[in-house]
Amino acid sequence: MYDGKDYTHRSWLAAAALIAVLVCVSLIPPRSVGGVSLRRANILSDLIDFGDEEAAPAASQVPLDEEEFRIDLEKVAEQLARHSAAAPPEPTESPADTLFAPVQTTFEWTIGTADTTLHPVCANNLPPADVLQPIEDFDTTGSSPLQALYDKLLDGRPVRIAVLGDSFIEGDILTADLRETLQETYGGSGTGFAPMASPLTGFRRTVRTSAKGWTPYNIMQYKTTPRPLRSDFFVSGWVCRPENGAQTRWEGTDARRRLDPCEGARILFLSRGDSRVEVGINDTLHRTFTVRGADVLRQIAVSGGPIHSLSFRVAEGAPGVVGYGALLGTAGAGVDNYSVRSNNGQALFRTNPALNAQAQAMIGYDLVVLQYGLNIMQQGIRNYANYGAQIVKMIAYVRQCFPSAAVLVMGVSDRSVRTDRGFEPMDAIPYMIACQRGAAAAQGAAFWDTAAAMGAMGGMERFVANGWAGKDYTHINFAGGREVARALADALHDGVRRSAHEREERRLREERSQCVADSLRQAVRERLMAPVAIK
Amino acid sequence: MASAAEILDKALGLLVYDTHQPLIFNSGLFLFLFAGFLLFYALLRRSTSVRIIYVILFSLYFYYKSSGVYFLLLVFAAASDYWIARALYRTRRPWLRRSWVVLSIAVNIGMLGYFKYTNFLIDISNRLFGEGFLQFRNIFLPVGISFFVFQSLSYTIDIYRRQLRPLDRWTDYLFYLSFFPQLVAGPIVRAKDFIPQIRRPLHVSREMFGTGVFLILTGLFKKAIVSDYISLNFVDRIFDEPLLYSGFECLAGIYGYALQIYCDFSGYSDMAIGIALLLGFRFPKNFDSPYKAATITEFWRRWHISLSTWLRDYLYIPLGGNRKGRVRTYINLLITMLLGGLWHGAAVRFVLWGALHGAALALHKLWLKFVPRAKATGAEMSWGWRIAGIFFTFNLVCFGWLMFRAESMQTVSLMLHQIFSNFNLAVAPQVLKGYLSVFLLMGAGYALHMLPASADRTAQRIVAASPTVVQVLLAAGMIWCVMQIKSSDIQPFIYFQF
Repeated sequence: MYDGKDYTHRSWLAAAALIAVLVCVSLIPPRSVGGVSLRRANILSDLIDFGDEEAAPAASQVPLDEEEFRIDLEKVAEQLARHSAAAPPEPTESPADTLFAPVQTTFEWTIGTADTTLHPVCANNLPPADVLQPIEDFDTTGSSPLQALYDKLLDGRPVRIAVLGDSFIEGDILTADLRETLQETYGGSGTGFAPMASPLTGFRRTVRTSAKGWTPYNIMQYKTTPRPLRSDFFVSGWVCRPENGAQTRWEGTDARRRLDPCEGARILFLSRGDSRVEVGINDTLHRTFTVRGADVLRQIAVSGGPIHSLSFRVAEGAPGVVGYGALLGTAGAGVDNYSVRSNNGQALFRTNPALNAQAQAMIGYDLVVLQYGLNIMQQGIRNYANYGAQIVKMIAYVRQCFPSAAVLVMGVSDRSVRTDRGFEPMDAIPYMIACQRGAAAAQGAAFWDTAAAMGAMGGMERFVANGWAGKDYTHINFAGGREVARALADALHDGVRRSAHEREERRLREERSQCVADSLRQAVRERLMAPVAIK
Repeated sequence: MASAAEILDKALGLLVYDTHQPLIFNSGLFLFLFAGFLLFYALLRRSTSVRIIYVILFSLYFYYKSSGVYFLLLVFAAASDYWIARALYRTRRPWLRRSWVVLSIAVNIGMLGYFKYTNFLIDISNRLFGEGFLQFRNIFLPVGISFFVFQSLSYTIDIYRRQLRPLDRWTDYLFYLSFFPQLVAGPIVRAKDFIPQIRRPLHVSREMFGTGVFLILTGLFKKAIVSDYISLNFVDRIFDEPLLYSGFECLAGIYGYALQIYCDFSGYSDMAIGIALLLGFRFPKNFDSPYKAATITEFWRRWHISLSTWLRDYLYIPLGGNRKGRVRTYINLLITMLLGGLWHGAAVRFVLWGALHGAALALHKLWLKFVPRAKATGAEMSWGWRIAGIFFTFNLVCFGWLMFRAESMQTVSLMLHQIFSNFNLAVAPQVLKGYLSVFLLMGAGYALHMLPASADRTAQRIVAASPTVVQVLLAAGMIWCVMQIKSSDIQPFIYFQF
């Protein structure tokens, strides 16, 4: 019926031969050919692990451009002291002395009665955590600034948190949900810091920004930033140069609760020459401010609300103006997202410490979170000592610029890499975490293990499977940010709860000692009052 | 190194159903199972009935590895349509015949509807009547249900149309429905094309063997190298967060997705057709270089041919086709493509994708009617018109893919916003440099796709005529490449917007 040879048997012979060849190929170890590294093609990877990762010699130390990011902390201290001594006085109500003309740094505009207090919380009402990853506080001074933050939250006083990070939190990922959780629990409103202009404004869902006439530069473009602007970065990592008429409008969104409307706002900018700027609120209230030129940070502080939208326009004097952005919401709990992609934290050393200190004087951060390390970590590298030394300096630098704030080092997040067995956690993670925890401990700062918190939720593979992270198995998205933010908020709640507990114990102790003292006093009194037997 | 007992434990673990590890042709496990299967398949080549039972058992195991206990659904569908078809064939009264075929359609579409569309319908109800009107159900979607339901329908409908005689043995029907090469991702093989091959003496010619090897290799290249690499390292991230990328990158992401979906789908089809050839079965061609199409009508003659012809024969023609006037023809086209879109997935975006293609097909028919010089396919056009037609059709199809791939209509609008308002061509050199391997692979993919059909035939002839040793070494080389790609580092996110 059929002409020619039948090849039915040939199929299994070919398949068997193919398996034999592939098994032999599996025995070839990983190697580099012409600069291209070739993995072991292990057809039996589901069954046999040749342990290539363990056998690979660990690279000596992670490559780091410390020279480029050199910082002398003593010089920073001197600079801050010098600046503080030379700080021009704020204007007073009395006529200005012409010789030492005061410089007005804050332009106030009250549009209503501001409620700057939080709601005092009852520690028992704080949401419970399913799995808690606590914050480790390495404070050795006995007056931990982190403890002060917990006390403020407990008492219902305003708190402000700055989160400095990289692309992991870009676009308000994580911080949007941390802010929402804290504001829902402790009170407060507003999206926090939003830059004057940036190519990524469309990506940020928690504020609608429309800007024109600005040229933005970020600190990772330091070398291509015009030289006069290079010393104008503060921790936001962005500077914007305006042309006359440049304007920005920020508007709250409903991407999270408590964003719109907000109460209170600040607009931060520099005006080295005389300038005239216009501010609008809710597109109905408008006011013009004449700003005398000076080399200090300026703010237009709007108090009260409700604020749905805020606009800023440089009407005159644009050449001397540098725009930073606005902080929407100054009441209650505030979280500001200061993210610059590709930053491993060392770019902080290129910020101007005096500007940072001026920003701190205006904003008053209680906590600065450092979320870095993802851009340094590499598969196969286990020694991060040089990066650890840089983190120690970062903490010290932040302390110099933000002296009243606690510093929290966020450990590197979970990250997966591809192997012949599929996706596995990057082998460098524990080493990077050890380095970050060590740096925090050495400086008496606080540390939170992000990777452990993510691990408790199933790790990066689970994040990707759930649609909580990108397919690079490195970056979380907004949905993933919500999960990590909740874990971090749980850790903060736990601190507040412990603080409340300690306070209660202290009160009970005092009450008990008071009772003992009272009863002793009573006993003495009774003894004295007792009728003396007359013999 | 693990001990023998640990290895055995792991091996046994691999053989059990795992939701996250379905059995696919480009997995190592399949190679081992298939080699073992082939040995006994060859030994049973003269015992037709035993061989059929053997293939059924392997196919059901293959399905169990993908969908667990739902392999019983396949058995149920086979039993149901087998008995309905027999009853239908025996009946002479037209109304009863119609009732039987309606019952078959109801059972098949009912299964498909329950497993695939229940939550979609609940979602629509909740949108209409308010959140919480109906609760979402936790329903498992058995792999390949859309394919085997359509295959089974082709059997009962063809018998209803008296184009086919029913099978005498239930096992033969189960063999047809569960045959593992095309079970989970097509092609949709019609009963009348497949059934005559079941009990034919088993014979694999040299040409069948060589072509089978060639198709498996090209399928592996398309699916496991081109598609998987560009999706993980470029396309997915663009569609996940379009606002992080320039319009240039978004457009490249859409073109990348067009190649990815073609390579994914046609690659798996090629492997299925190749594997079937090694087993002595011939399947019809499923893809014919669809992006060479110069009109949308031609595109649907080249894209997923087994589906488009199924829709034509079992949906468009029963609706009246082009026999009921011009307006009805356009409406029929639109309905066919809307349902064809819905077949691809239970979401509004698939319906819109279908509507776009339906409208485009209708408009093209109208164009052909009113412009006498217009041609239906590129082969009839002059070179200039053909190139313009290919460019236009490709971009129209890509616009459709944008809707098909985007998670929501918001993503569609964001991608379009980036392309039309933030194209930023200046970043192109950096993007090309940063994603060099992705763009090289995309370039190679499109170049190979656009090669004339003769080049494909020549390559096929060369591989088919090669000695088996060479074919084995070629396969080993291809699998080695697949494994290098599979374990390669993920391209880190690169941002060029500033």
